[in-house]
Amino acid sequence: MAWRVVARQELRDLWLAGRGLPLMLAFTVLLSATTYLTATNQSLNFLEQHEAVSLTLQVAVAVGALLALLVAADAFSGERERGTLESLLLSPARRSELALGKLLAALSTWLAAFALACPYLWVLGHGVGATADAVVVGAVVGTVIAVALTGLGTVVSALARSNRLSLSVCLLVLLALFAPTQFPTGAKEGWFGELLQRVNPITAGNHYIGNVLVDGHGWSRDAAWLLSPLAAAVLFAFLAVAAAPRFLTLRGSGPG
Amino acid sequence: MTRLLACTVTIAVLAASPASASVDLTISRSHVATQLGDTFAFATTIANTGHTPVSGLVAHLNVVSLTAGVYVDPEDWSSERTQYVDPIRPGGAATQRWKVKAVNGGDFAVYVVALPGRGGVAAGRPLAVSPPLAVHATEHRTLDTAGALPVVLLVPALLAVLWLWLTMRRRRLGLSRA
Repeated sequence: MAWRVVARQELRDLWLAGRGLPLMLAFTVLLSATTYLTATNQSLNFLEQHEAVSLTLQVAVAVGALLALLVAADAFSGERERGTLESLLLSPARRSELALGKLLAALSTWLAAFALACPYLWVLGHGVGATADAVVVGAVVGTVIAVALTGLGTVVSALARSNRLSLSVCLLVLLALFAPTQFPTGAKEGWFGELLQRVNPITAGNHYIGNVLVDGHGWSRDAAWLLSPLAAAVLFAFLAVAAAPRFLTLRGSGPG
Repeated sequence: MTRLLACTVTIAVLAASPASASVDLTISRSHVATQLGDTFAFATTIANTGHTPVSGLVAHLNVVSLTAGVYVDPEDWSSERTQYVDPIRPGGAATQRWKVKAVNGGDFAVYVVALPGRGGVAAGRPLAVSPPLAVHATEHRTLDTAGALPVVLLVPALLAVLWLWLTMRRRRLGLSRA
């Protein structure tokens, strides 16, 4: 069970000595600003309250998953750059166990972010009875998306030659995935627009959150929208733990 | 001969008559009292009261605030505000169902317009309009600054204190940053 040792060490480095807490502090400042504006600012207050809960939850999922991705993108390339990867590879732990431990530690960033988002969801949603739905749908959709993104980050980090390259690639992919959320409504209509939304795990997850929280749809009615986030989570978690560690070298395989 | 002429004139007038002249719009409800954020539904029926089939009609929903200074974005009230109506035979009718969500509080009027289609619009034919649906939406706000402030301030403050405490503890113990 070497992965447990790796995960414990990574968690200690992340939360007691690393950037876990500062990242969470920035995250809560962002959520505080969103919640305060939603509650008080006249220009945002025309939002119906269910929409305010949905908006805040989508921000929490997006930024929480982004933080998990950033931590995962540093998993191996960071060790490589700090010169500690060699000793890690010489340890008796198998490479897949190293990857699993690091992936779980990175995933803890999302779990912490989501736990911190719950009080905000309660403030916005308790008046209209939307808190429980928001917490459950956020936990399900957010965790699935976070698993997919941490898996992606771990894979890229195992292959990238430098930390800078790993972070750049991960952020580029994330931006590409988030770009369709800014498309005008018309571009999301029609069979091709809907297909793009369904295939993209981020837009599909956001769509599901909106359908449950804003439109009041049942949990099972739009469950098909969760297929692409689930598929991405399974695929990237598998690649991160089983495939990418086989290509893990001291120098990495990408440019940079 | 006079009868034949009168008949010809009648046919010509009917053929050239605007679609709106032979179309009657009715609405299933006249009043709705609802709460901000709630969704309500209603139906409109377009009846062809003329003697010729009517085709190409476009039904369009609109929302207007009856209070000055209240901004209304109809897109927020209903995502599907336009319906293309199938041809209606003489004496027939077509029903459209609408779902609307009250996103503002106050008094509003919701109405549906039947446009005469591409050719009719180009020819400048008048529109047929339904009676208005009077909507009274009660504001149901549970959000306010006082309720949000404790969480908005406390959560980051507690995290900042925890972070500072950990940093100072590590410095006191002489541990370097990992």
